[in-house]
Amino acid sequence: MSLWRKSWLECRPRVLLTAALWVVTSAGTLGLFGMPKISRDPIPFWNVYILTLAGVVAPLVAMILAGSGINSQTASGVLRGTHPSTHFMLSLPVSRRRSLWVRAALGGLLLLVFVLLSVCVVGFLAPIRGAEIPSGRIISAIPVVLLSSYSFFGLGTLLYTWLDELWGGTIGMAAVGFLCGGFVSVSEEVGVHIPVGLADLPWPVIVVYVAVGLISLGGANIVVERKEY
Amino acid sequence: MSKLDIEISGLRKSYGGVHALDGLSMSVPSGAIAGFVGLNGAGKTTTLRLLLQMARPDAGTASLLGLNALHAGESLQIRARTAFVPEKKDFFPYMNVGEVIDFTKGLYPKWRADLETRYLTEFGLKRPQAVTQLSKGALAKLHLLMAFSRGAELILLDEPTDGLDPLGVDIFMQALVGLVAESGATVLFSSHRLNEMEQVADHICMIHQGRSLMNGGLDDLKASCRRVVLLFQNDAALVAGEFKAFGTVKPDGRTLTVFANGTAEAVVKKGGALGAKSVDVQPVSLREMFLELVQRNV
Amino acid sequence: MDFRLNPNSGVPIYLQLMEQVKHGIETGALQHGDQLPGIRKLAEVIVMNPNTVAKAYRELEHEGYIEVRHGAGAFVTGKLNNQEVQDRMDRARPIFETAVTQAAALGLNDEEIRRMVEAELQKIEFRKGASH
Repeated sequence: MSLWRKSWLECRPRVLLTAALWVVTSAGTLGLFGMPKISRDPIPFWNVYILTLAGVVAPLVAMILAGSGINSQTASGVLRGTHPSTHFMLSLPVSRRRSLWVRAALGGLLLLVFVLLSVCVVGFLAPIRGAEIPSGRIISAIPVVLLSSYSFFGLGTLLYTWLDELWGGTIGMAAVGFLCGGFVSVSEEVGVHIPVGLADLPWPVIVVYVAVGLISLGGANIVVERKEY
Repeated sequence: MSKLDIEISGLRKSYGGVHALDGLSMSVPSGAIAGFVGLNGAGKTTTLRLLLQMARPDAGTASLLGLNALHAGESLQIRARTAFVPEKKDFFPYMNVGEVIDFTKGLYPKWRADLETRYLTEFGLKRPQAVTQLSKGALAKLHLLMAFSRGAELILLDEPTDGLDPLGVDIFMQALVGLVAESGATVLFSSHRLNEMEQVADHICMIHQGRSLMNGGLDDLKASCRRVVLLFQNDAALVAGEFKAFGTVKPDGRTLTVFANGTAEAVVKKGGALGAKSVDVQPVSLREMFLELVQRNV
Repeated sequence: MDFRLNPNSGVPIYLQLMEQVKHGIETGALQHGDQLPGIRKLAEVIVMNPNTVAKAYRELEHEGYIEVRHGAGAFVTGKLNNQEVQDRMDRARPIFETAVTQAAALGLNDEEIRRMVEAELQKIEFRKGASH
């Protein structure tokens, strides 16, 4: 059994939580698409959905999937300090970086699945409820949600490597709340034109998101080597 | 026995101004079963953590299996040939016994499936049992199974018998001597069960307040340590001062007990010179040796 | 042969093991050609350090009590160091018989008698050490 399988077993409860979130948001959104007023002119509602997804739900899921990891080998739940099994893990012939990156790669892959399912299932199933979303709008929403969720995933990876489950989680969730406010102000900035396609996002926002994600991952890479257990 | 599998020199580590290790030096020859003895907080767990790169020392050097334990790349090579049982016996809570075994097995090409099967039976462990359902003793047993089955050349055990019942301790000790006899592995194990340690260890590393108190072959230590009981005509306290230089002196009525480390001969001579009525030289157990040395260094 | 070792007596275990093998030869419990258990087997049975068993076997071989044949195991040679030693022990036996019987009559128990013998040996050893 490889490190990948261990990471999967570790992620499993988080995947369940993610799946539950996905079912609730997707089913809820599809349900609302059935309302006559919305299905007649579905684009504004679709925009609000993508905004919520990119601004709140996907970052939340990113934080959930980035959790646990090398620091606290727990499957889920709040935990102070380092889980006792960490010492066993660190005694094995696996470098800390490898542990970190395998776990992060798996979490990142699961996040990609969540984003694709959230955008595509709702977008392409909307006609069933009588609402037609142009496929161009569906496809162009994907990079926006990915951009937002991966920058939070990077931040989460850093926080959970550096801090324990309790503090990493608290600060991570606070960041989601605080920065999502930033996402909404982006929409104000561009006025009535809600940013649901990459072309709608102002460049500074893209740069900030990419920078936060990359710097966080680089930080996690350094922290994991320096940390004392 | 000339090669050293563990070699530590001047190791220092402090946490928030408190010296956990204060210039520790110790060594364990290849093929030895070494007992790692010390009070709680003496620095045993810190030492093991530094040896496995879980934390970095402030100063000093350490090598395991001839490789630099403080170098990241060499530490990885060391860990591929080493087994470790941590102080806190726990595993990944999202796995069952079989998954823990299979995960670890995948990292050690020399895994001994025969020993795995044998210890599963002897320790009464079942593969489908969830880790979170295991008792403290069962967790310790699973750790020992993993440590003994991976074909390690160096085995580091932090309180391996903690949580084990008497039968578990017996199986552990038997497995330990059997494995060492067969594979020639080097073992360092910390424990407070000094009687049992004395039975299987042939090397002792005794530490106190982050420093080495004693480091050497158990037989040599035993040969040099003696309790000399002298009986005098009068109150022994009167002559107690004469023996202070040889070791710890305890006067009790007319008898005087001197704990002599390599000085028994001199004590006997001095006793004769001071007119002792009788002299009784007694061997000392590891436990007595330890308590004596620790009390002297308080 | 049933070995009984006391790890906490303070006497090095390899010496205890050696003494018991010698005792076995002296009493006839071990005879010429008898095979001693292998190092690993004995270490497991009496739960002691295999290096210590090996050390005891090495010393016993050095003193001529046993012979270690590679791959085959350890065998009792049947002869004591030499006939001279045997003769000396025969001559000393009555002295010990008297001493031990009288000590026991005085009410000393086995352990006390053993300790006294040990203490006397120690004195001789120290005197030897001092004269060097």
